[in-house]
Amino acid sequence: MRRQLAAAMAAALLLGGPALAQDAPAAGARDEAFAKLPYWPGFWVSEQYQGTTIGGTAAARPAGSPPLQRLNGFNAPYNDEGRARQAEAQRTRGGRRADGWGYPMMMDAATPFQVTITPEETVIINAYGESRHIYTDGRPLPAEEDMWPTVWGTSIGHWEGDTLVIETVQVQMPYTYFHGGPTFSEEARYFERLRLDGEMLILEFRVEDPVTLSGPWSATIRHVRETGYDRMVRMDFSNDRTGQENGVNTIEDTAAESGDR
Amino acid sequence: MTGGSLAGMLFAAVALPSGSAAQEPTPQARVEAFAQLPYWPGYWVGETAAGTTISGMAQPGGAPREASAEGGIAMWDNKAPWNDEGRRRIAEVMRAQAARKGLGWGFPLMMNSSTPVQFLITPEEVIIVNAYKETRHIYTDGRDHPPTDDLWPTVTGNSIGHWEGDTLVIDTIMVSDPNAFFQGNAPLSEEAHYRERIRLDGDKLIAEWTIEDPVTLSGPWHARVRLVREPGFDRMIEVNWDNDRTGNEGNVNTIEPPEEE
Repeated sequence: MRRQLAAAMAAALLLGGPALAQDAPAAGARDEAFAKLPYWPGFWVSEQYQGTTIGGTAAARPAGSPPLQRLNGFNAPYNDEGRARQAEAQRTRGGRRADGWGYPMMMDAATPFQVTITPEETVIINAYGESRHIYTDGRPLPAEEDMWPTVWGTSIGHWEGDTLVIETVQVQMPYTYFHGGPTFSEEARYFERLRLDGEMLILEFRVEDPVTLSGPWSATIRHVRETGYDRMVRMDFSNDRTGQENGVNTIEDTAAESGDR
Repeated sequence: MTGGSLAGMLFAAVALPSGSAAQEPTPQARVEAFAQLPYWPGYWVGETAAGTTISGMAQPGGAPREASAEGGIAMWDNKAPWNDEGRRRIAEVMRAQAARKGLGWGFPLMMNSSTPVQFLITPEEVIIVNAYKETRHIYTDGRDHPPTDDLWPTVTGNSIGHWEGDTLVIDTIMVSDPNAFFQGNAPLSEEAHYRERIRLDGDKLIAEWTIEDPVTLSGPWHARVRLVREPGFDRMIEVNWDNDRTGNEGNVNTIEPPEEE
C-alpha cells in the first residue's frame, strides 16, 4: 500500500526534471502518507559507542561479549586493489584528522544522529550537521550525468512496511573524508534496511564494489538511544588544537600558552 | 483550533525535562498534528541572491544586489540601530574583511543566502538545512529553552518555535558572534535574541526578523527577508571543499595554484 501511495504521489511530480512546488501532492495525500510512516524519535549511536564520554572512549563491554560488527570494512572481502588501498590507509592513518564521520561511518558512530521522517524524504542528521537525504517520493536515482561523488552520496529509498530500504551511490572513497572509513571506490553501491526493533534501530548494511571487493560485504549495526540528549547538539571545532608533526598528529598549545592574542 | 495551539496541547503533556528520554504522543495525535502543518517544499534562496551562478554573482557583470526597503540581515545590507559598541565592532571587522573566509553562512545569514535551504516540517521539530550541512533544529513540541546552565553559544544557536496558523514563529538565543563564523554576518554578541516569523505568501517565504542585543544595538533591529525557490535543484546537493584553493597573504585572500595530481 505504501509503495502504491508513494507512486501516486510521485506521479504528481515531474520526474523528468526538478520537482516543482505546484506539483506537490494534495494535502490529504500527504497526511495519509504520513499516517503510514513510523516514528523513530531519539538520538542514536551504534551499540559499539554507547556511553562514549568526552574522553572519546566508551566503557568496555562485559567480558565474553560477542564482537560487534562495524562498518569500517576491515574484514571485507578485498581484491588486490582493495588490499592495496587498505595497506595505503594503514600507512597514512596516523597523521589524519577529519571534520566528521562521513558515509557510511556516520551510521556506526559515537556521534548521535536523528532520523526525521516525512512522506517525501527521510533525513538522517548527526551532531556534525552531516545530513543524508533519502528521497522516498518514488523518484529513481538521478541521471548519470547529474551525479558526482560526494561524501554522503546520493540516496533514494522506499518503505516496506516499517522498514526503510535505502540505495546509495556516488560515494567518494569513505577513507578520504574520515580515516576510520573503508576504502571502497566511487563505484560502490550501498544497500541498507533500517527498522526499529523494540528500543533498537537495526541497520542491515550491504556494499557491492567491483573495484575493491571480490564479492558483496554485509554487516549489521544495532543502534541505541544515547541518554542525556534532549536536543541535537552542534559540534564545532572552536577548541580544536590538532596539529601535525612529521606525519603524526600533535596537540598544540592553547592560544594563551603560545602567546597568541 | 490552529495548528500551533493543537501541537502545543498535544505536546504539553510530554514536554521533555532536560536530559530525559523521549516520551512520544500517540500515533494518532502525531497524525492530527501533522495534518495541521503547512508544507514548504523547494530549495530556497534569498530573493536578491536568486540566480546566483558558479561565479558567485547573482547578476551578470557582478552588479550589486539590490537592497530591500526594510533592510536585510547581512553586513552589506542592514538598517540595524547599532550603538557605539556595535559601530566599533563593525569598524573592526571591516578592517580584516578581505583576509577572511567562512566555512558556511552561519546564522542568521543562512536564512538569506545564495546557498539553498530546505524546510523539513514535522510535529515535533522544524529542521532547516542547507547545502553546507548547516542545520537548524527548531523544536515545536512545546518546550522552553533549556536552562542557562545547559546552554552555550553555538553557530546556529538554540531555537524553539510554535505555529500561529501557518506562520512559524521562532525564538533563537545563544548564537556565537555570527561574524566570527562568516564575515558576511553582523557582529552581534552572544546575548542577542533573534525572533523570526516565517510564512508562505504565494511563491515566496516571507521572514520578518526582530533582533535585540543589549551589547551592540540601541534598540530592536527589524528586518524582512524574502526567499524564493531556486530552480534547477531537484535534491539537496552537498557543497564541500575539495576544490578550495583559498590561500592568504596576511591581509588579503589569494588563490593558490592547483595541487599536482
